[in-house]
Amino acid sequence: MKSCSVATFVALLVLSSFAGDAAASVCARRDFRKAVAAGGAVAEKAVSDGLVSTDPAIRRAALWELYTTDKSRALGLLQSLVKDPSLEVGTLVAELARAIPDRDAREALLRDVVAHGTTPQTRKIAAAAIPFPFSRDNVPLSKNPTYDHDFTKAFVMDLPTDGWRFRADVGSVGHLGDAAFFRNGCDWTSDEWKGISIGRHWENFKEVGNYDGIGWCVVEFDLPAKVEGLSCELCFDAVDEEAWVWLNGEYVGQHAEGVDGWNKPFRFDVGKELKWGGRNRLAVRVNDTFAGGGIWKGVRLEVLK
Amino acid sequence: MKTSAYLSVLLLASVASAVTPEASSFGPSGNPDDQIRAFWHPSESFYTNLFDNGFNTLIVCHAGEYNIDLDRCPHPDTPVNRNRWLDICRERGVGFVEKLAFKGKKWTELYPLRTKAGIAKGCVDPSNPAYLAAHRRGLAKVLERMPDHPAVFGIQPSSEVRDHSVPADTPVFRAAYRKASGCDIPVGAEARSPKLYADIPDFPIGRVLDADYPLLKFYRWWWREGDGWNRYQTEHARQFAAHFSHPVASFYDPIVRTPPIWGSGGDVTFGNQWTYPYPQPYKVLHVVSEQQAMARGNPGQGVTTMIQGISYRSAIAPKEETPAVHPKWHDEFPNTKYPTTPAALMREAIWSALARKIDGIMFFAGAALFDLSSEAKDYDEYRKRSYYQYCDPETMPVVNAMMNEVAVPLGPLLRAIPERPMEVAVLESASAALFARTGTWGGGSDIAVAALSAGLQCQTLYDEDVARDGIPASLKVLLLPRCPVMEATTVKAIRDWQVCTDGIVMADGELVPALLPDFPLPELKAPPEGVANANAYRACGREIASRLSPHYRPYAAATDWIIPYVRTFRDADYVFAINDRRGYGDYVGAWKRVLDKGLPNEGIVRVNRAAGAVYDLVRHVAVPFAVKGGKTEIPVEYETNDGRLLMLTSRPLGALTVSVENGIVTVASSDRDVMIPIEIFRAGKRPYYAVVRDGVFSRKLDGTEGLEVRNLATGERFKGE
Repeated sequence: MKSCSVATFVALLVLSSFAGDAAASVCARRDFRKAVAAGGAVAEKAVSDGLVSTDPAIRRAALWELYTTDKSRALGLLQSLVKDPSLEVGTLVAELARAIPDRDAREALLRDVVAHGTTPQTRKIAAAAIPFPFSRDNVPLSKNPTYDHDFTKAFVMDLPTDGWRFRADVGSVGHLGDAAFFRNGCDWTSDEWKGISIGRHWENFKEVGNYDGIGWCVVEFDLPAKVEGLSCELCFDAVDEEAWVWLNGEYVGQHAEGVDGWNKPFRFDVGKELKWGGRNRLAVRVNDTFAGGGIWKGVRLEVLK
Repeated sequence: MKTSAYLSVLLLASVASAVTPEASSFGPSGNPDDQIRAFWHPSESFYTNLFDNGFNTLIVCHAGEYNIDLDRCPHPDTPVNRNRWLDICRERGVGFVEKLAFKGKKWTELYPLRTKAGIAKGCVDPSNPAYLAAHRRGLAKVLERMPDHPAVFGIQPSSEVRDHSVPADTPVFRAAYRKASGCDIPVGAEARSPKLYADIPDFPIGRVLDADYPLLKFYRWWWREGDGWNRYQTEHARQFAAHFSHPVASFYDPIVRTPPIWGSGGDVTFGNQWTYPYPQPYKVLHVVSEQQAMARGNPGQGVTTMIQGISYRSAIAPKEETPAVHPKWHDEFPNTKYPTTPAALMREAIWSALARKIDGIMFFAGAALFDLSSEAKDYDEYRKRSYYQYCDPETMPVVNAMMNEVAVPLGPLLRAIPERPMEVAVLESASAALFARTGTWGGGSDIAVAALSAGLQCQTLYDEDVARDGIPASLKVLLLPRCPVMEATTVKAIRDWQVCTDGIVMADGELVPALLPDFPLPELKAPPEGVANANAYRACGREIASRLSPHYRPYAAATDWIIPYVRTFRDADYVFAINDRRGYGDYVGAWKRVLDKGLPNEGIVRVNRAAGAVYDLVRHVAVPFAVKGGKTEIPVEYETNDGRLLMLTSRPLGALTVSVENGIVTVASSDRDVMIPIEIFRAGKRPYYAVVRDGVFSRKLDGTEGLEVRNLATGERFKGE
C-alpha cells in the first residue's frame, strides 16, 4: 500500500472518532499473528492490511512487522503516520524515527511528531529522541581533582526558595529558537508561568500537579557588589531528576545522570556569567520521569578562596 | 539468540547449584512434616506464650555474635541460659534458628566497597575473597562456642544486606566478570541498575534485548553472583551446617527484594520474604508467587513467608494528622513510627499466606505484638520512643487464634497440598525491571493483586522460567503489565505460544511492539483513601476477569468480596475462601488509609467441578453444597474478614483404620486420591497432626497409649486397634 493511502485512512480515522482498543476483535488479532507467523505472501498481505486496520494494536504490530522485514519501506511510511490518533502507533512512529539514517530527515520528522503528535506520550518520546543541543563540561575548582589546596568560603548566599516560576514543557521545545525560556527576553511573569517555591517537589503545588516530564523553574535574584575569590560556584543540593542550567541567558552546565541523579548535589562555576551588583536570571530545565520532581533542595552561591 | 545460547549466558552467572538436602526434608523437630511457624527475635519473656500457641521455631541471636574489633564472640546470652532454652525447646519440639550478627567497625575499614564513585559509605564488599575469609574465621569462632544441640534447627546468616550494594570497581571484581563472561564490564554499569532505557544512547529500537546485550548480561551476572552476597549466604549456610551432627536449615530474606533474576540468597534452604499487609492484605497471595518464581531457579529450595507485625505509621495513621475522634494509642505513643499491624489485616494476611504452598510462616516485631511496658525501666521514656509500639492488643490474639485453629492442626496438610498448574501468570521481566525500573522488589505486582481479587490465580513467571522450561503448557492467560523492555527469548516464546495455543495476552500500552496483545490491561489507579483503594483493586480485577470471560474463566469464583484460591491434590480440591469485606474500625480507621475492621459477609463459592462431598477443614464437618450444571456451589458466611478452607471430593470420605505395631502408628484410608488431615491423640501427649496421603500415614511415635485419631475433615474419631 502506498503511503498516501495510509495518510488518507489516518485522516478518516480522526474524523470518525476512532473507537479504540476496546472494540478490537480478539479473532482479528489472532488471525494477524497467525498470518505473520505463516510468512511469505500471507504475512505480507496481513501486514499490508494491518497497516489500515481499525484496530490500533494491529496497526502498530503491522508497522513493527514491516520494520523488521522491510525497514526502508516502514521508515518511508512514518511521515504519514504522525497524526495517527492512537498512542500505540504514535509512540512507535516516534521510536522508529530514530532509525532514519539521514540526520536532518530524522530530526525533521521528530519535530513534526513533537508538534503534531496526538498524545503527550508520543510527543515526549519524540522530544527525547531529538539530540539536546546544549552541553558543557563545567567542573568548578572545588571539584577539580588536580587542585589540592584548601578552600575557605568568602561568600555564601542562599538563593530564594520562594518567588520561582514554573512552566511545563511537554513537547520539550522550551530551549529552542529566539523565544527559548532561558533567554533574557522571555517574559517569566506571563500567565503561562506559575508561581512555585523550591525546596519541595513540584508535585506539592497545585499549579503543577502530578506532572512528570520537562519543566522549567526560573527565578531572579539580586547580588551585592563583587566578592573576590578564586571560584564562584552555583550549588544545587539536589534536583529530581535531571537539570540543565542557564544563568543570565548563558548555558552553564547540566546534571544529567538519569533517574539516579535525583538526590545528588552538583555545582557549576559561574564566574563569567554572574552579574555582581545587579539582577540575575537563573533558568533550570528539569526532567522528571516519575515520582517527585523539581528543585527539591536548596540552591546557593558560594565564592571560594 | 537461540535458547541454548541464552542458557549459556545464564549458566555462566550461576553459583553452585541445588540445595542439599532439599527444603522438603526439613521440618520442625517435633514433627518433620509440619509447617514452620517461626517468630523472629522474640523476647524470652514470651517464649512460653509462643510455645503454647503452636510456634515451633524461634529465630534468635543467643550465640551468633562475632565482633571483628575484639576478634571474639561477646555472647549476647550466657551459655547456661542458652542451653537451658535449648533443652526446653527440644522438650517442646521447637527449633532454634541462630541469627548471626557480625559486628565491629573494622568490617568497613578492612573490606570497604570500592566503586567508581569512590568508597560506598558503610558498605562492605563480599566480592572481595578476603572479606569472605574473615567471615569464615568469625563464624568459626561463633561455632566454637555453639553446642551441637538437637534443638538447633538452622541459621539465618544475614538480612537486607543487599539494599545498598552497588557494583564494585576493583581488579578482583573486574577479573571475576571477565572470567564469567569473557567480557569487560560495559560502560554504564556503575549503579545498582543501568540507566533508564530512554536515557541510553542507541538503545535497541523496539526495546527487545538479546541476552548478550552488554548491560543486561552484566546486570544478570551482578545480581546473580557478582556482588558476592549470594555466595556469602551459601558459604555461611554450609559452614554452619558442617558443625552439626544433624541436618540444619538456612534462611535468607528478603529473597525477592531484587530484580526478577534467579539466584537470590544463594543456596539457602528457605527463601523468606516479609510483607506489610496493607492496604490489601491478600496481596500476600501474590508475593508468595514471586517467592515461588525465585525458588524455581534453585530446585529444592523452600519458601517461607513472613507477615510484619509492625506497620509504617506514615502509611496507616500518619502522626501529623490527628482526627477529631482518634484512638488512645495515638496520644499514648506520640512518636512511634511503627505501630502494630491491625488485627484484621493480620488475620486476612495469614489466611492468604496459608492458602499458598509454603514451608512456613513467620512473624516479626515482638515489641509491637506483645505488651512489654512492664519491662520498661521508665514508662514515660518507653511510651515516647519512636520505635515499635504495642498499639493494637487485638493483633497477637488473632495470630494465636489462627495458629491454634488453622495453622497448627492443618500444618502438615497446608505444607503438602500442591499448587494447581499455572493457568494465569504475570511476567516479571528482568530487563524491564532493570531498564525501566518496573521491578516490584517483593512488593507484588498491583495488576496481579487485582487479578487475584477476582479469583484469577495469577502466578509469577520470570524470563528464566521461559528460557529454561518454555511457556508452561497449562498457561492460558499471560499478563504483561509494564513491559516496555523485554528479552528476545521471552518475546519469541510468547509469540510462538500465542500462535500455537491461542494463549491470551493482556498488556498495557508500554508493551514492546514485537508483541500483539489480545486485550488491554485496565489501568489501576488506586487512590490513597482506604475504601476507594480497595474498590479500585476490586474493580480492576473484575474488569480483567470480564474481558477474559469469553475466553477464560477461573476454576473457582465467588460472590462479592470473597477471594477464592484453590490448591488441588488429585481428586481433592482445597478451596480457600477469604472474606475481604472490611470497613473502617476503631484502631486506625479514623485516618481512612486502611480498612482495619473485618465485616460480616455471606455468599457463594463456585468451583468448576461436580463434587460429591464438601468438608470444612477448620470446623471439621461436612457442609451443604449444591451441584448445578456441573459446578459446585457452596454457601459461606463470615462474622468478620475470616477465611474458610473447604475440601471438595468426588464422594464422601470413608472410615479410617488405625493400628499400632512396634510403636509404629498406621492410619489407613481407602480414599487414596485425597490428602486427609488427621489429629492423633495419645494419653499424656500433645496432639500430633499429620496427613493421610496415598491412603496411608505411618510413623513411629513416642507413646501410643490411648491412641485415637480424628479425621479433621469429617470430625469422626477412630480408635486404635
